[in-house]
Formats: sequence, structure tokens, C-alpha cells
Amino acid sequence: MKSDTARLLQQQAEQLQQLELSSERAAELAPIVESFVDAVAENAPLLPFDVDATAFHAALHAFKDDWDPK
Amino acid sequence: MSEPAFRSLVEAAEAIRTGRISSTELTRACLDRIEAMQGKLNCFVHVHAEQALAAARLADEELAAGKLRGPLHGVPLAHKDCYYREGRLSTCGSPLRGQHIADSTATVLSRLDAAGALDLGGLHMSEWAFGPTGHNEHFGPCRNPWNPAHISGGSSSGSGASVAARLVFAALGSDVGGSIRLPAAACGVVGLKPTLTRVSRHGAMAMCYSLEHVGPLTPSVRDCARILSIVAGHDPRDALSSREPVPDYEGLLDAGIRGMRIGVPVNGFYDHVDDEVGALLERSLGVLRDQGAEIVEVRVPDLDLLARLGKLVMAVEGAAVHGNQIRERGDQYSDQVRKRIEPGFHIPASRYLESLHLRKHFLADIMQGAFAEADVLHAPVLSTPVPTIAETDVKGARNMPEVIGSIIRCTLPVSYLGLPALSVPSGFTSNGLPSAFQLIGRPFAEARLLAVGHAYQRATDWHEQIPALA
Repeated sequence: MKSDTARLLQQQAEQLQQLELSSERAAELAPIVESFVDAVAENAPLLPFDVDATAFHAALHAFKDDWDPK
Repeated sequence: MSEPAFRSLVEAAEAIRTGRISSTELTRACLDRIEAMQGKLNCFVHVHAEQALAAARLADEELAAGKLRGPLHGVPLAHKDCYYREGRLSTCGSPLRGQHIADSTATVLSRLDAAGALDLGGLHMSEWAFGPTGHNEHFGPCRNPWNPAHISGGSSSGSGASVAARLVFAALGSDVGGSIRLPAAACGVVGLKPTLTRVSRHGAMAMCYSLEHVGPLTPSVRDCARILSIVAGHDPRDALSSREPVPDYEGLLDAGIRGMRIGVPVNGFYDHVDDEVGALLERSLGVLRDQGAEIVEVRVPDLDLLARLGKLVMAVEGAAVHGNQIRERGDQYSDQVRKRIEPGFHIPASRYLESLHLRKHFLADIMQGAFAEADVLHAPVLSTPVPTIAETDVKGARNMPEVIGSIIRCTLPVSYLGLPALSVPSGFTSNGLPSAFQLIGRPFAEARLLAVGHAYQRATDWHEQIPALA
């Protein structure tokens, strides 16, 4: 799996203008990329169908503190 | 090395206001200390001594004429070298910005100027703010004033070290994964990462749009409250900045914490805490309990998962910011920074957007879980005693992601969720370096965090300790 990802990274790098990536570097990056993407994939089912681009900022304000220390 | 004239920002401001010392005298004293310590600590990238002294003389003249600009009249500060000031160099920790002269001034700097503060120069930072230790392969490491063999923490490395050494009375830092709290903790000063959008980011170097926070590092919590009151609030030049009203943070400090529920996470934060650090954390909880707080146990979302999602966002947005420059001038990036950005070129756009959208889910999760049981969370900043520069000098080595990941494991998840967090010094480990806890709050609950931190500092004197600077 990791060697497949490393090969894929190298192919992608060739398509990205002037972004050089040796096979050794690709092999180092592969588990990192996999770890990140897996973290999303494992939790993607938590996402609603109609995601709103401003949802996070709206949530921050919705969850603001109601504590009044005065 | 002379003793600093004052130990806190508020004390220094009051002394100038009441004529006990002039701004010129204080600025000259700070410049003398900077000159004496620069070779040992490497806190500054550039110092603007003549401009600072001219500004100090003007401040003294204005005060003599009865004009007080604001609550920081004539007080010397300096800031992480990623805040732009019109006509001045901002290196952002990279040789690629060696000639970069800004054509406008950051909103936070304008607000501090309007409050009367002086700006002595640009402070050391990790290259492009990527790096939690204070290493910088181009400018050399920033060193910890408590022991120069140890890291200052980063990426706001010069901010933490210069405030700890009392070279200046406060400094702005910026935080994407812990870059305010980590240097604050490592250097024994207070550091506040406010709620995402609480402070304008206009005129601050772009690194990671979705996680960037601007905040102060100061000697005390009261100092921190004063700076936050000045820099917080909506800015038409930062469309994402919040319109939430700005409270009088300093005026709310003495609210007390009797009956407040302080949550101690039973999962995640304490999983890898060193025994010595754990004992200091326990003692800090005892102090808060003695002040009347109730300590409760809470559960939080999976920290390692939140950290992976945060790293994904950092890598993708870093790749977007640096893409062209890396293609054209990749040799001007250190191997470590390139290696942290490179994964971002290979992550599908849909996964990036999903990781951003998942923030709302996990924010709701912590609000309905831990923050239903507690008013404030108490957690480590660094899980271990402050390491040495040599121990963490991993550059782009194969183990770099693990070393960096272990340093930011308690801070990045909080940044990803955009929650406010305050790092408060809580003693020293046996290697003589400071340790700290962080208080994490609900969105926009900075006043509460500051009230808890202030209550702790009224009962302790860790924040009044100043390094011997042999």
C-alpha cells in the first residue's frame, strides 16, 4: 500500500510543474499522506450531505461563552 | 548584566504614566539588555534602535504636554518578524524575504501604536513559522534564557525568549499548531492563543488561512489581558475577523473562580506526560482548588485524530501559499520545512475540504461533552521537560514527523478547533527549565481563561521569576 502511494506521489509530482520528488522522498512522504487522508476518510461519514462553507465560523459563534463574570 | 527596571508590562506602563521613569530611559535600558543578550539568545532579527529612541523621546514630550496616547504609552515592545510595517523589513524567518519591505502595516501593530506602544524590532521565528522548537537553519536557533542549550520553543521563538529575558515587555506571536503557547511554556511567560477570528490577521504573514491566530506573550496574565483588549475586535481589512464585542479583559480579571468547574481530561492530553511535568500539573490544580474551583474529570475527542486533521490542513494550505516559491526557489527552503509542506501537494482537494468541515463536528462534540461538564479545561502544553536544542535538531530526518508531532500533540488539536487557550507558567523541572499548563475555553471565553490564570498568579510567583542570564 505504501509503495503504491509512493509511486502515485511521484507521478503526481511529475504533473506538478517543477516539483521534484525522488523515489526515496516519495517513500518517506507516503505514510504521512496516507495517515492524513485516512484520518479524514475514517470520519467522513460524520459529515452531513449539505455542508455549508461558513458552518465552522457559525458554530464558533453559536458556542460562544454565556458566562458573565461580573 | 543589569536587572530589568520592571518585571511586568503594566508596571512599566504605570511608571511611565506617573513620571517615575521616562520612556527614553526605559527604552535605552531595553536596548542595552538586547545588545548584551543578542549574542547569547539570538532573539532579534533586526533592531531599530534609533527609530525606537526617537519614538520614546516623542512619547516623553507628549506626556510632558499632558497627552497620554493610551494604556501602553511609551512602553517598549517587539514582535515576531511576520507582522508587516510599512517601509520596514519582515523576514518571516526566511532568506527569501531578506529584501521584503512591507507596503502597509498590520492592523495589530496599528492598534498597539495607537495605544502608545513602541516597537523595537523584528523577533526571531521559525522559518515561515513552520517549526515548534525555535530552530532556524538560516538564522540559527533562538535560545532559551533559562539555559541557552535548550530550545526556546517556536515558532514565536523570539517572542517567548525576549519577554522571558525582559528585553521587551510584551511581544505578539502567532499560532497555527501551538506557536504561541509552546514558546511561552518553554520560556516561562504567559501566552494566549485567542479564539480563531478574535484578533485581526490583516498584515500578518499568511501561512495557513484556516488555523492562523494572532496573540500576545507577556510576563503576567494581567499584561496579557491589557494587550488583548487593545488588539482584539473586528477589522474591516480581515473579513473573517469576528464582530463579537470586546470585553474589558483587564477589568474582569478579579472575578474570582469560586465554584468554577475546571475539567481535567481523562483521555488524550495526559497520555504521554512525564512524571515531573505531571507532578507540577497536579500542583497547579491544587492551587486552583484552593482558590475555590471544583476539579472535574471530562472526556475530549481523540487528540491524535484532531492533530492529523490539523496537519492535513497545515500541509495543504502551506502548499497553496508556498507552491510557486517552492517550485522556483526550493533550494532556499530548509529540508524540514519542505518536508512538512510537500504532503500538501498530494492530498485530494475533497479530503482537505472534508477535514475543514469535520471541525464543526468535533467542535460540537467537545462543547456537548467536556464543556457541558466544565467551564474551563486544564491540560499540559509540553508533555516533557523542555528539551535541548541538540535533542530536537532533527532537520528533515526520517524521525522528524514523530519528534515534531510529540511537541505539538497537546496544542495543535486546540488550534484546529479554534478554541482559546492560555499558557501559564507553573514551576520548574529538575533541569531548571520552566513548565506550564494551558487553560482551554469555549469560543470567545478569553475573559474566563484570564480570570482563572490571574487567580493562579495571585497565589503563586512563578511568573515573577527572571532568568539569571549568566
